[in-house]
Parts: sequence; C-alpha cells; structure tokens
Amino acid sequence: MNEISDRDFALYRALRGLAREEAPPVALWPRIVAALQDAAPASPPRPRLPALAAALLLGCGLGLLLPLWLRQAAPSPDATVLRQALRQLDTAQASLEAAQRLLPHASYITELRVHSSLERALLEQRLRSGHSS
Amino acid sequence: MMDGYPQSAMRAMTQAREPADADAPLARAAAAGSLTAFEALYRRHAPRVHGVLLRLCSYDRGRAEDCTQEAFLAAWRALPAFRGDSAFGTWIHRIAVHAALAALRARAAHDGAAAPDEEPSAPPAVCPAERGELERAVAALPPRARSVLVLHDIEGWTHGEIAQALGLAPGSCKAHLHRARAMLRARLE
Repeated sequence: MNEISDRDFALYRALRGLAREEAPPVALWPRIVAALQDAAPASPPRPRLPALAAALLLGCGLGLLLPLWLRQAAPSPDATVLRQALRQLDTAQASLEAAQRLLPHASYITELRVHSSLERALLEQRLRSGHSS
Repeated sequence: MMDGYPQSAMRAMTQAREPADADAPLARAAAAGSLTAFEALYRRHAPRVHGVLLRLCSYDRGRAEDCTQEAFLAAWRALPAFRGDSAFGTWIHRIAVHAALAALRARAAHDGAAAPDEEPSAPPAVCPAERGELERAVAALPPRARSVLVLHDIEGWTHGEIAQALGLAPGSCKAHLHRARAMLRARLE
C-alpha cells in the first residue's frame, strides 16, 4: 500500500535538496587551532621509540649477554673483571629502568630487570667470597 | 505516510559523498598528535559538518560556527578512541550532530524555554534570502521538531538513531516528525 502522496514526495525531494554542504568561514580553522593549543593533547604522550629502543638494546645486551659471556668465555675471571662486569650490569639495570619508565606495564622488561638483578647478585657474591670460578 | 521513505537509498546518498576510507591514515596520524593531518580531515569534512549544523541551528551562522568548532574539538579529543569501524566522515558527522543537539539543549535550558517544543514567535531573521522559503520554514520549526525533521528527512537518519540521539522513544520521534511535516506544509501553503 503506497500511502505516500505526490505532495509528500514533492516535500521530501525539496527537503533532500537542502542536504548540501556549506563551507565554514576561513577564519574558523585558526579559531579551532587556537582552542586546540589550550586543550589537552589528542592522545597520551607516546613512548619515545628511539630512546626506548636504545635503553632496551643496552639493557638486554649487558643484562643477558654479559653473564653468558662470563660463563662461557671467561669462566675464571679475576676480581678486576668481576668489578667491571658489575659496573656493566649496573648500566644495564639503569637502562632497563629507563625503558620501564617509558613502558611501565611491559612485563618482559620487569623480567629482564629481575634477571639482571639476580646475575648481579651472583657476581657480587663471587667477588665477596673471592671465588673467581 | 512519509515514513515509507526509502531509508537505505537516503543513507546511500549521504554516504556516497565520503571517500572510501582514504581518511584512515590521516585519522591515525591525527590521533598521534599531527595537527597537519587533522587539518586535512577538517578541510575534507568541515563543509558537510557545517552544512548539517547550519540546518540544526536554524541557519544561524554564528551558532553553527560555534557548533562546528566544538564538534572538531570534540573529535580531536575523541580521536585516540576512533577505531575506524565506520568511515571517519560518518564518525565526525555523528559527533557534530550530538554536539549541536547538546548545545541546543543547553541553550534551551539557559534561555529558560518552558518546553523544547514551544513554537517560536517568529522565524529567525538570520536566514539569508537566497536560501528560500523552505529553509526559512525549516528554521522556523520548534527546536525538537526541527532536529527530528532535519535528521530524518534531510540527513537520512533512522527513527532509532534519532531517538537515541535526542533521548526520545522511537514512537515519540515519529510523532515529532509528523508534527514537523504538518507545520512545514502549513507554513508553505
């Protein structure tokens, strides 16, 4: 059943004809920009990726590879080598801490920090006990 | 009954104006804070947004500009949550309409309007002459009736969508539409 009259269709067509675009005044965009500058940023600050990558690379490199190297290439390091390794692990931990500040919820960074802490504790124990093997 | 309008055809006409989402990379860049990308989106979509806001604001250019500004500010704030489930044009269009409806409600409350559907005493004087009798008749409708008519008959929204946006029951939305059309016809005859 077609209940739409010709008159209604004519009105409908006329109303649809109103659906046209209207460019806002040129001055509106500068107003929006000015308001945006006072507003909060569109999104929370993103991690600075180069800084994050550098921190992770240094942290992983020193925290994981240094203890491995000590076990395989220098199984009996003297006290000097152990002290140097401790300093390097301190650097690794600082880097991982910096990475975690950028990605606070990244659990893999937490695991890396725990791992490097354990390795550091082992080295410290070896240094204190005078064992070099 | 004019509720028999082919809504799918109306929606197709509305959406045909949008590029098939060429906006997605710009929206992502804007969400990451690029004002240049946001300006490109503004340039592309502001005319459509401003058009519908003019109609909702009774062709009051000052109010429509304020609403357009508020719509794009709201879009900037909401961009990080934009997932691209719909086209950016559809998304910003809805944000704009909601911002305008909120502004209209706030204005009605501020002006102490006894009822949102109280008929205005005279059509707004800001309607430019070249827009014609129909635009003046639409502008002279009571705010709620005008919002329903503009969104349904001009913008192609469904009753459900309008009811949700205006906080009405769908049946009430249809009643407002019939009333708006009757008033429009009476004014035009």
